[in-house]
Amino acid sequence: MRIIDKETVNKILNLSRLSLSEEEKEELIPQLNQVLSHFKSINEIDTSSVEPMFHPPLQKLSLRKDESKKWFDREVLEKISPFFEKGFVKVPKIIEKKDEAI
Amino acid sequence: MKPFRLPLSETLKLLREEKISPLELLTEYKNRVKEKEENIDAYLSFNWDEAERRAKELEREEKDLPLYGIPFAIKDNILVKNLLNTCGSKILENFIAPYDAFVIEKIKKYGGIIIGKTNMDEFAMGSSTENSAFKVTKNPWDTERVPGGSSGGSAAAVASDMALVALGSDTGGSVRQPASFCGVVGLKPTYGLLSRFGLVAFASSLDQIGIFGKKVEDTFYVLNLIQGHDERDSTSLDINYKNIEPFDGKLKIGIIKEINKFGIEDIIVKNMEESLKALESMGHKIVEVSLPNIRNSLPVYYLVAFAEASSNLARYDGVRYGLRVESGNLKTTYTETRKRGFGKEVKRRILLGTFVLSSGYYEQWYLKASKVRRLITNDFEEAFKKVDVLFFPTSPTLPFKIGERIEDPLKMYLADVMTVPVNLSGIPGINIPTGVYNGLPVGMQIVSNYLEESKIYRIALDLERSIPFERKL
Repeated sequence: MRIIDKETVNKILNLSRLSLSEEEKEELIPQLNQVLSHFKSINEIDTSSVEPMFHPPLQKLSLRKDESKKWFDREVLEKISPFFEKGFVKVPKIIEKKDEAI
Repeated sequence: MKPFRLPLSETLKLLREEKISPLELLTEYKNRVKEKEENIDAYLSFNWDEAERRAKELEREEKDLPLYGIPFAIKDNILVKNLLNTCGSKILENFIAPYDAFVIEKIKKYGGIIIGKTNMDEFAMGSSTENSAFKVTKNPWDTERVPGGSSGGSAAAVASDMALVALGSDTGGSVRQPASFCGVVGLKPTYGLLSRFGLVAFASSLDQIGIFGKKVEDTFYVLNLIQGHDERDSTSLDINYKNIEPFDGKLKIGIIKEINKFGIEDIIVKNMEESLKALESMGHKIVEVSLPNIRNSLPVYYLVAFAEASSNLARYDGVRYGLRVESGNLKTTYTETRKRGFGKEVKRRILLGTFVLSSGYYEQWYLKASKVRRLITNDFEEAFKKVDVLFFPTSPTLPFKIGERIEDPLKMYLADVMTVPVNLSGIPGINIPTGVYNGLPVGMQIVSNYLEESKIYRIALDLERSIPFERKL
């Protein structure tokens, strides 16, 4: 049984800001279905009275005080970003025409 | 004996007694790397200049620094200031770390010397180190075979004496499984014991930094030095950190009743039985316990890991750092950057993660997996009411051949079947080399309840002392 079809793949490609060629899709779709078909067995397990667990149940986690701290100098960020200009990160055009915001 | 063959305590003794200087030791390792690296490909980059400068500087400082002159290899997803940090990915090919990870701050402070960054599966996604965008690391025992993964470079570096100790990261077994394949000790502590500040995130509810060493003592010695609370990692445990020493006394060792459901090779089952016999003869008690849900760990682990990875890797958008492939507008720039920057396995996992989190599928996949995750954790909780540690193989198979599984993602995932349950719960585990079959190493895993590393230490030491294991590569 196919869990993911081409339409679903196109949808998740858009959601995850990825793109694939048609040949890559042909290779990938059966692989994704193979993995999910194998993993769907967990749906047979009764979890009706089970609370989900999203992280290890260790109580001693703590948040730091909500205080501002100096992190990096701008020069450090400039060094790791090849797109720095006059103190800002330069990006390509976001809005091309009216009503085309993404 | 050649200095690079020695474990940490003996190396430290030579250094303290001035029988060898940090620079001389470093040179020994450098020559060793020259001899071995071309066949193994454990490293992605080296730090010789800075390492030599630091070694000379150390000679003028106090010799009682606890890691005085000790050479480290670091997985390429743990930030070392001013060194490349690629995560084995094209998308970070030119990324230079702007700061040190918490664990690196500690290593440097205590006199450790970082000699290089090691190869890994891209963003730690893989079990063979074949998913690196740059090279395939070979198993030092047989260069036609994989070293395991994802921290395969670190494991191979320690196994072939190209580093004394190494750090890796363990999200689903990425320290323990390569340690098993390379015949070294690999320790994954309790989730939260080592700060992940400066570790590149893959699956945040599972990731933990781990330590590779030649001997059990080496890994715990380093753990005791680099553990501690760090307010820059909200999952760092805010507890009273004490030196972890081997538990003083005999322990109850649990074997898993359902172990025959994991498809473990006969030779490995036999090795497990022999190892248990050795431990029994030392006065420990063997008890069978049932963990009925543990066989569901593989799907649960992967579904959770896919979901968290798809979210964590959203940051690689070509905007602030890393690769950028400019293409028209901002959206196509994101898409082109990620298309060119990520490899096949990373794309597969991002897509599966996006799918299991997406509207209409979330309940059936991600939420369901998170519920079964609780059942698996409850099994461990029940088991640790009856026994002190659990004992089982680290890998169901011996190291497999390069190319054997890379085209079949599911087959690759099955390599982690014995290690992922531990990450789902967040408990600690270790791999101990326990034998060699047909020239390939076998390893056993010792797992304890949260923060009971001292019990793992006890059993690991007893096992190491009772089972002869020679690594001459």
